[in-house]
Amino acid sequence: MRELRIRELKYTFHLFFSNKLVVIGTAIVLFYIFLAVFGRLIVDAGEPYKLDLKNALKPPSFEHFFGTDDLGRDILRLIVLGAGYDMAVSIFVVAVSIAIGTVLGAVSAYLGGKFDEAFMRLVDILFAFPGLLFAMAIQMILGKSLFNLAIALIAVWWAGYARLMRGQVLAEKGKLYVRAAKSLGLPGYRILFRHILPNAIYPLLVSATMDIGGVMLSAAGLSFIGLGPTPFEPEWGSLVNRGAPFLFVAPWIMFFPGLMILLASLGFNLVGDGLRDILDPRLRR
Amino acid sequence: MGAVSTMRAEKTETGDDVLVRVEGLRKWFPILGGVFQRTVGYIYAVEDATFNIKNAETLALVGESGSGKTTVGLMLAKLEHPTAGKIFYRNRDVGKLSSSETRWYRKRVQMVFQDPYASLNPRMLIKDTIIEVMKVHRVGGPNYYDRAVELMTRVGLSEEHLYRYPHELSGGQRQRAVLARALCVNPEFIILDEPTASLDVSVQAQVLDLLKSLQDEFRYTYLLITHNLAVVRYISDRTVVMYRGIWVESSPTRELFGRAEHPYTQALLSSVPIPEPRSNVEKQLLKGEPPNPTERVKACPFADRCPYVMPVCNEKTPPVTQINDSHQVRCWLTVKK
Amino acid sequence: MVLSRILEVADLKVEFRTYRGVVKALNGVSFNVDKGEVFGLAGETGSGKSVTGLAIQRLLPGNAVIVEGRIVFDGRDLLSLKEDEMNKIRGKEITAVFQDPHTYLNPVFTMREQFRDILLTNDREIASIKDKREIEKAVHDRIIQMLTEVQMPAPERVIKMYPHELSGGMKQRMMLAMAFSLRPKLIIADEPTTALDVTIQAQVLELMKSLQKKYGTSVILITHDLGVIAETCSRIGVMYAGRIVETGTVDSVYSEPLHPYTQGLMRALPRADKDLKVESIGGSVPDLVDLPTGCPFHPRCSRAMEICRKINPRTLNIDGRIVECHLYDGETSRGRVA
Repeated sequence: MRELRIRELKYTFHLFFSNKLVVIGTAIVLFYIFLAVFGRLIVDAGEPYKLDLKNALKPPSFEHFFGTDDLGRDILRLIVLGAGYDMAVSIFVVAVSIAIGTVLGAVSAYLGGKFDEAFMRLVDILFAFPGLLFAMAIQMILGKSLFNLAIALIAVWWAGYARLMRGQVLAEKGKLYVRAAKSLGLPGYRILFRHILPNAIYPLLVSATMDIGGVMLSAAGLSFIGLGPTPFEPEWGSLVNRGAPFLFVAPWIMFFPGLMILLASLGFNLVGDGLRDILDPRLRR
Repeated sequence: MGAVSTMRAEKTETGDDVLVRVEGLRKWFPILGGVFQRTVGYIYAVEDATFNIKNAETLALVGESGSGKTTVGLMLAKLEHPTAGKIFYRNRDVGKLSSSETRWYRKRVQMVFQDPYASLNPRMLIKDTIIEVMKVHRVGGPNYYDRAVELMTRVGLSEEHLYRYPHELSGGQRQRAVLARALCVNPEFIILDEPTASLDVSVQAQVLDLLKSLQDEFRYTYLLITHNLAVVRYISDRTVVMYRGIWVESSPTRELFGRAEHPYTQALLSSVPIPEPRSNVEKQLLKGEPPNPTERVKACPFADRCPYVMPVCNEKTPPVTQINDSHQVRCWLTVKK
Repeated sequence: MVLSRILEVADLKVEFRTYRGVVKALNGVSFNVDKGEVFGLAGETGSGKSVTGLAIQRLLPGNAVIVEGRIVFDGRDLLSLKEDEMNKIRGKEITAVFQDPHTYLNPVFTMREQFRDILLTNDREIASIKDKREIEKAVHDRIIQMLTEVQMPAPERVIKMYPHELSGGMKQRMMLAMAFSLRPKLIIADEPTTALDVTIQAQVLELMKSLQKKYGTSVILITHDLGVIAETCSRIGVMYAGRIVETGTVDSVYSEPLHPYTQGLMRALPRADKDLKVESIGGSVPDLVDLPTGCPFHPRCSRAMEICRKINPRTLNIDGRIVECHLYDGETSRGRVA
């Protein structure tokens, strides 16, 4: 029986490594995680807001690989320091959204009837709102901060997972093994959480991985328009924002943080795509 | 649960223990349509199913697709609510069980589905699947694992198979695993829905023999739902034939294969391909196909395909004729005789 | 080359390349089909009966490799033909009937459109007509004629229907009409009645037999149901683990099966016509990735000898019956014949 497990594991690795794009995506994601966790150890972490006006708006050089901003700060250093903020916000938002969405969506689908109907209308309303606008409104009420930015994004994001989860649970609910579990007299909560959820959650995991990039973009977008962290938190979106007035004088200020956001989004999408292939039971015979 | 377990099986006039009594069971599935999802019609899946199942016997419910036999099984397993009619289990109305009594019922009545693969949770080890059921019903403890191993051995598998996922088992092994899951709570009554339809011939015989030996050992009562008449003949004691949701003939299996009274039963028996060259004495080929189930049967369900159809067949539902104590048929021909 | 022979398959070996390893689906399959004959190919899941059917039509999936063997159809070696030459044979001279018509019928076209496509691309007679209106008329007449021949109720109405509007029996009749409409020399029918109810199955089999007789078509009937073969075929090949272990006329094989596997199958079959003690074959079908050495059946065979574990049995011809078993091989088993 251990052999079987090992064979299954080997097969998973085979699927993983036979898809080049996933390997690239994973490498990108690992790189970002590395930056987020160890970034502060590599570069001088102290005082990101320290000014050095003599060196302001310097183009990329051997001294400053990515150039400097209008306050003379090294862009590369800011990007490395900012990685932690961006990753933390994205993962936090997706994790909390998925937790809320999964439970609410699953319960709604399993109970069905009036409750389900009412719940889905609520989700529809959330969807009908332009998400960014909604998040902006929340930020205005709660005040500007990185944490409130995350809260605002969660408020918008969970509904998508709830809807996806509901669909998944509805599909699983109709399957024979659920019927069998019912006929065996297993209690409802057990059927939902022990049987349906583990089978329904995989597409959500895929979608969540892909969404990390999306959340990062949204967060950057919000902070770009000024609804986000203080200028002392070198979040990438706010860096892009800083660079906007200097687009034609010093394009590197915008370019490199923007590239980082784009690359992250790409990496997580590639991993998500690959996960879908690996987790698909049809592919696993 | 004390009051429940002291209940006795009821005695009929003939003195046999009747475990399950099904009376005039009916199931219409509504067809929803239009913007407001209103009921625009029905699928008349089961129109009238009536039969008794005696203790420790095997009753076969036979019919082609659309006969409603599986729906009857689902109603007995309390997975569908009857539109009309009643099910009595040990003389208790199954439709009126409280929630604790339902748990009691679900423990005693197990269903084995046609597709063993689909009826197992694909992401659970066989071990966890079986032990979970025992834990929920508090049966077989405290050493659940030992009991699981014992069950696996009884159904012809080994301890090793407990550590497999469903997709790692062969068709026959899956069916055995599903049986082990059904047996782990010491049931009395097992509904077998096409238990060998997904299996190859050589494996089918193994599973049929296993079912027989389990019945001999534990005195299980079986309801065998199948279209396979060879299987019916091999393991059942009595047979009920259904057509378009209505039972048309009910008889001891031996007698049914010897002298079927209903023209549909006769056609069914003669349509089975026999693995013996030149055995086809005279094939009685039926014309036409069963009409769609959204039309309600008005008189005899078989009238439009019956080779002996008479005017009365299209007018009135045939009454039940007693051929003898245990053989009943619903056909105008036997009435006329 | 015997003139009466339409198909000759010799020593066909097919492998599938999968991650698990090389699946040895066919390990030397040989059989012949005569003109106008119905040949039954029997076997359980994984025995290779469907693969054989697909190989003859050269419709094997991409990861399949024909390792060796010969398929001679009507005097032509199919395996050496170019794809476009094969295309001229497939669908015209060799047609197919499948278990599930859904894999064959397109759900978005009516029956008339699908039938018309088949006739327009494959029928020479209709292709030779110049006038457009004449073509449509010829097509229509032909469709109605074929549907009448398969006893389709209300053919004029049926041709306007979509596949989902037909019942299972009607779909299978439609498949037969399409398969026979081009007057093929060979029809490969893979489990054509497995999804049908017994009363409908009896109708469809009867129909297939009468059409086959009328047109003198050869049919390979692939099925797991020994009853269906007994009632439809003149000869049978019994497959096990990618080999045909026994071939012979239906009469002789059923009354006196030679191969222990065939014997086991016959004994394992519950019967609707008589009370019979059923004896199952122990064990299960071998893994085609990891076939046992020697005879593939020896782990389940009650009469296995030492030699069966080591050497694959030769193909023996015993009074016109072909069997692959050491029990009947005088040289290998020193004259021990059952």
